[in-house]
Amino acid sequence: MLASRSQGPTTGSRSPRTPTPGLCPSRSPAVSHAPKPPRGAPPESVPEATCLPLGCQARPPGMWAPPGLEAALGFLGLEGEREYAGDIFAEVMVCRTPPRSALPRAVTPEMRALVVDWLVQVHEYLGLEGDTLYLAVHLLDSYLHSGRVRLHRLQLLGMASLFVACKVEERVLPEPASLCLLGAGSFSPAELLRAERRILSRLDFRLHHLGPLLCLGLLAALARSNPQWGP
Amino acid sequence: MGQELCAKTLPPECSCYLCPEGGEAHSCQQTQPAAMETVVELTDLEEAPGCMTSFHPGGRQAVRARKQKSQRPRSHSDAFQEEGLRQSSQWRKSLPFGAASSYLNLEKLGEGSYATVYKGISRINGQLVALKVISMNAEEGVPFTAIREASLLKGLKHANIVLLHDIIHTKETLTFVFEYMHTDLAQYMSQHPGGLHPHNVRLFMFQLLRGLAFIHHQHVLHRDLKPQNLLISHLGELKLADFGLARAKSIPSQTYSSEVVTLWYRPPDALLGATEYSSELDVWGAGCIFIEMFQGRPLFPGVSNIWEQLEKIWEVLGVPTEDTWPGISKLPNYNPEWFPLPAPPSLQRVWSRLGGVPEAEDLASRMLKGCPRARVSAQQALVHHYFSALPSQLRQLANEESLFTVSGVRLKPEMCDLLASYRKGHHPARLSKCW
Repeated sequence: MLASRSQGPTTGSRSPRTPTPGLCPSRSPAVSHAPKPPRGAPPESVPEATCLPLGCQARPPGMWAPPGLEAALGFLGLEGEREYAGDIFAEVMVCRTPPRSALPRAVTPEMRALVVDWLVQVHEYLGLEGDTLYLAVHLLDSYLHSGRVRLHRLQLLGMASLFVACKVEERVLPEPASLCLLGAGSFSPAELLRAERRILSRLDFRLHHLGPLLCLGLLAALARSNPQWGP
Repeated sequence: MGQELCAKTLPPECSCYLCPEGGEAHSCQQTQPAAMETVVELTDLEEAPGCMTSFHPGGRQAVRARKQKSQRPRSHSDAFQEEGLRQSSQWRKSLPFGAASSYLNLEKLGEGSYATVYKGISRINGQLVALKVISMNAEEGVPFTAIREASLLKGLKHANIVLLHDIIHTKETLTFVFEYMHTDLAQYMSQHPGGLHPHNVRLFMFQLLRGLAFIHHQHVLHRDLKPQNLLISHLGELKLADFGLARAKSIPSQTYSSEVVTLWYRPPDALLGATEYSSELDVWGAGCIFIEMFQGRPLFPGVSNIWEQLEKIWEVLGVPTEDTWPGISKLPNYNPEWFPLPAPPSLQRVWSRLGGVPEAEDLASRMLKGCPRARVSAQQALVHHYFSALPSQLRQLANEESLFTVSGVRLKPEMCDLLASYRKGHHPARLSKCW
């Protein structure tokens, strides 16, 4: 289950540090884009939930709710959602397989890994929310999968994805100028804003993505372990 | 979440979204019913620069819009008076979606903090539209409210949520094309002072709760409910609009700002400084609007700060204690020196017109609970006895079907309309004329 969702970046136990300005090609890629095993064995408490097609509309609410779900939601501070507990559970348990189509020919998995790795550092440096990073990588991937990319603009694309993700998730926006500093001047604020518009128009504002953090937190709370994820 | 939402709302054939350019142009032409007309029209496309060949999603937008239209066979928000205009003009089916030249601005409707709204008309099919023109911030680019609104509305297709038809990208601006609605609840109430017809209140309230239950099921909070944000069509369809403050629910430790929701409609928990709120936030606002429709005026008018607002609320609900609201004393703005006012025995003592309708007071009191956990959810409120007077088919409607597709469901003329027409000496022929 977890393996199938871990398409996003690895947020290992690295200590916060200043991101390397620019892309440093000597770093070994921390994240590979090689296709993951499609799906682990579903947990016993989730009968068939993971096998249903995404478009399945008539989900009887609460049908798949495992025992203790409401308490687990309460533990996460979501007790207000008890009415929708079954919905939330079904939603986070839906397996989102990464798109099958490969990266555009010009972009190798190593290049993508490099950008993602750099984004992880920027994200840590700016102290952003966990969901922001997952959304940024999702946006980057969606953009890469949807068509042509200019190779020398890959870093700009990564930063613009993070910028858009901040606008969706964060309460305080990082300033474009400071983001450009972190890019070691390889792009200007004006270019960042243009890239933002390009992402929005190519993805047609379909920006929503349920990151893995809620799923992990919920599973951890259900298993009565102390969640290590999330702030 | 969005991925799944989109998969839900778009029929599977729409996977041409990812297919190469050639395929799109092809499918676009195929959907044209009159092929001859298409060929002729294609010759004068210079007004729509390069949209068929560029990567701009003209073709796929057209396909998608057609799909949407087939799901929503009737668009109730078309005005009768525009009917003539529509028939007299030639609408060009070949104009693309997503291009500014496909829409004509008619008049300015209003100005918001980051956008200006115009009434417009689509040159593609003659439908009236509302054009929300968003100006770019020179430093921060696209306003985050615009990003949140558009990305949420992309996944929310429901008869009681305003429909986002199209998005136009130009160099300096971004324009959202919404369906046009004739008025909003605030305007409707000011045109019909003294409270609305109880039958109409029931219809409006059912639609408001239906919209809320839908977005809450999709884990979206509106967070800015007020009469100005509830749009009303000439038939009486009510739609939630203005999702600029809305957001998808997530782990609540990502604390929301407590500065959401206009003061009058803000629940006591948010006033007390709680930042971990969820769908109950919207339910309180809906409860306030419910009583406001009966009374014809806001519940707690004239307040200027959160303390006044809290006192007004305590006057009606009584001052809460740890017993009635566990955990209240831990909230930042809690004041232990509040004088323990006894609560009035019933809400109709304060708001008299609630008493005239059976069950209305019970529903209102369930929605206006101080403690958020005690508040009824939108889904539960829909099956409250108050709504049992409505036809039972209303509960079996598909998401995108309007209440008014059920026969016999219609608004009743408001009292002041009846009086006005009585003075003129004739009966109101059509409700829309009264406005």
